Amino acid sequence: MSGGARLRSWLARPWPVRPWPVRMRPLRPVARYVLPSAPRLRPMGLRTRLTAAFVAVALLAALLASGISYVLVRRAVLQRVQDTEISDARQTVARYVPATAPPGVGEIVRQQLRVALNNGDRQAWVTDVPDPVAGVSPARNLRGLAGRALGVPVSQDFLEQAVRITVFQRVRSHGHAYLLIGMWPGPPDGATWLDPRPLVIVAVSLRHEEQELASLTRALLIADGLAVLMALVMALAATRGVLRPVRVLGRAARALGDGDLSARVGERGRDELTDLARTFNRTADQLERMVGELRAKDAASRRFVADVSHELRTPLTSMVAMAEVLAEDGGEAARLVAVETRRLGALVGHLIEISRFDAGAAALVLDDVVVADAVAATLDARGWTDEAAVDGPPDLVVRLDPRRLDVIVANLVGNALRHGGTPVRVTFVPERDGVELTVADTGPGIPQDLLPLIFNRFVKAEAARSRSDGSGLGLSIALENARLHGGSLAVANAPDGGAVFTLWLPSADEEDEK
Amino acid sequence: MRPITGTPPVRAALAALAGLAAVLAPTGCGVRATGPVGAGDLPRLTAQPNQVAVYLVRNGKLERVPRPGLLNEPYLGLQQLTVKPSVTETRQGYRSLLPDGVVLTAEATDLDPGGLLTVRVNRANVDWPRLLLGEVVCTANAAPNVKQVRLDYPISVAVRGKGGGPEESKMLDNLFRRMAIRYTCAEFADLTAN
Repeated sequence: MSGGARLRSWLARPWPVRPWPVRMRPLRPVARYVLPSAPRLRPMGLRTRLTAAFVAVALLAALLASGISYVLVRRAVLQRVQDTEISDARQTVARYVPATAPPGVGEIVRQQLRVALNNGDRQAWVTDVPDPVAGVSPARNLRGLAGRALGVPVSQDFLEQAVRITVFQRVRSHGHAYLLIGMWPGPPDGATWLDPRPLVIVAVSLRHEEQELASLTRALLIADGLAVLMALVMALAATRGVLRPVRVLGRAARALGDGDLSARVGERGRDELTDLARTFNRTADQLERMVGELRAKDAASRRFVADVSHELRTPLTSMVAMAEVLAEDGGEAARLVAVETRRLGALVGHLIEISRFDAGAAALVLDDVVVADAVAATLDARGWTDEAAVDGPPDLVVRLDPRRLDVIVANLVGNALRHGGTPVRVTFVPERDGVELTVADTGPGIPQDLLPLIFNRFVKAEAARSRSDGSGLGLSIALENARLHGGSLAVANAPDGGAVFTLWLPSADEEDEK
Repeated sequence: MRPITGTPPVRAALAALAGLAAVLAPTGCGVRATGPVGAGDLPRLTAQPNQVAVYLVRNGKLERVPRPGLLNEPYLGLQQLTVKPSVTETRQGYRSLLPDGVVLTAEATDLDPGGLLTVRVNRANVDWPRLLLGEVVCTANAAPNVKQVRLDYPISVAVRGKGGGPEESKMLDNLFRRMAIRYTCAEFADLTAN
């Protein structure tokens, strides 16, 4: 088939109707950023921290309040019993011990005091103490007697004070608290006591007060527990209120990150979170506007390229045909013109192809393809059978678009032949429900700084190749084709030099005629 | 950009809790022991119950001598009879005829509604001269609401080996007879000095 006929048949293919459908695509369609689904209760999440803070504050307040009230109540209770008992003892002593006593009534008075002072919780010990001799304490030798009689240890210090003033002391004995009251009623001025005056020691059991305090402690602890429980419930309710807008915001932000620029949140309320929501909405507005402008510009420039390509195609077709005719007549210059014109035609073809991908107008025409046969046919059609070594299972059948596979393989092998040099190895193996096809050359490989850019349009390995055969669009077209299949195309440098392109194409479903 | 952080509320609350525990721990729970604490002066004795009258003997006559009383002890005079008169009283010539070892007691329950007071004597074999009897009866009669006085002796019927003779039963009869007598101080008016 002559060049002109091939061109004509190529031009005769159906073209998409203009104007190009403009379809907004997400900014980053490949790397879809999906957050892991958030668990309900994170160890250090907001809910946990807020709840812990609530509970801690409630516990702190409850403990502080109950501690203070406990101390106050205890003081009041003990003060009450002390006041009552001391006043009671003083009154009893003052009633029963006369200012002037008849002779020989010591035992009668002591017995009266014992009877008057003893009751269920109170025990009195009364003994006669002679008036102090100089240098000898009247309270000596009484400690053991008092302790044995009352069943509560009485300190010497207490007794020494009891003969001077009214004194009380709280002591603990056998796990119980007692109130000791001691006094030695003094003689009135001018009156004489014929008998030694009675020393009165009263031991009051504080059993009731201890029970009272124990029940108070119980009540306070129960109240504290209830307060903490209520704080927990209120904290959960409050965090629900706080976290709902946060969750809504988070969902909207995720949607925005995933490319849904129309994501907005409600702005009800007048708290800080509402401010945040408003800010988010404004940011999203700005982003949507800016992205929209960028996309419009991008689409306009792509459309411009497409239009230009189409406008160039018609005159170029004539030029190619004319150049072919001129080249057949001979002449070096004419042949050069013919070659360059053909290159120009190919470039325009590639541009149109790329424009279709950009416009989203590219479609798959699926078929069951024997990969070995398809690769062989591709190499054969371009006369590369001798320059490329093919290795792979001969019976591997994959469902894909054979024309696009042809384009990809042709671009990869052509690229390898042009820039890497022979021998080129084409290897394909079944992989992940599809086919993995590797094209490796033995050239110098691709410069490290160019690796991430190699699939970009018009990127060429070296400046000197700006005049090389390639249009600079072949690898871009190959990548677009791979993506159209839902597959991938990657590049790497082999450890022993040479670029390695790895293509993976999944086998399409039977009814997937996308 | 500097990350915006807040003070973790949990840590602050824990610190506050620790501080609270440190403040409240020394006070502890329950009733704590204390040292001796003063609660005012010693009570001053001001109470002076009604005096009781005691009849002592001076110059062979009964004389009424006042003694300080005690609360709820209306018959303290009987007890006072058993106490030796004070030095001052002895110097003034007062003495009591009651033998040593004799104890006279009377309780509030020993006064019957008719005003009869039973005075319990701890010994049966007391020789009762009229002056001594007058001392006891008048002292008992001086107590409020007492109109008549009766003496009560402990009765011990000792059954010896030979059995009670007529002499012993005569003594018992005598005792019962004496216990039945009711005295008033007026009967001894001839012995009182005034």
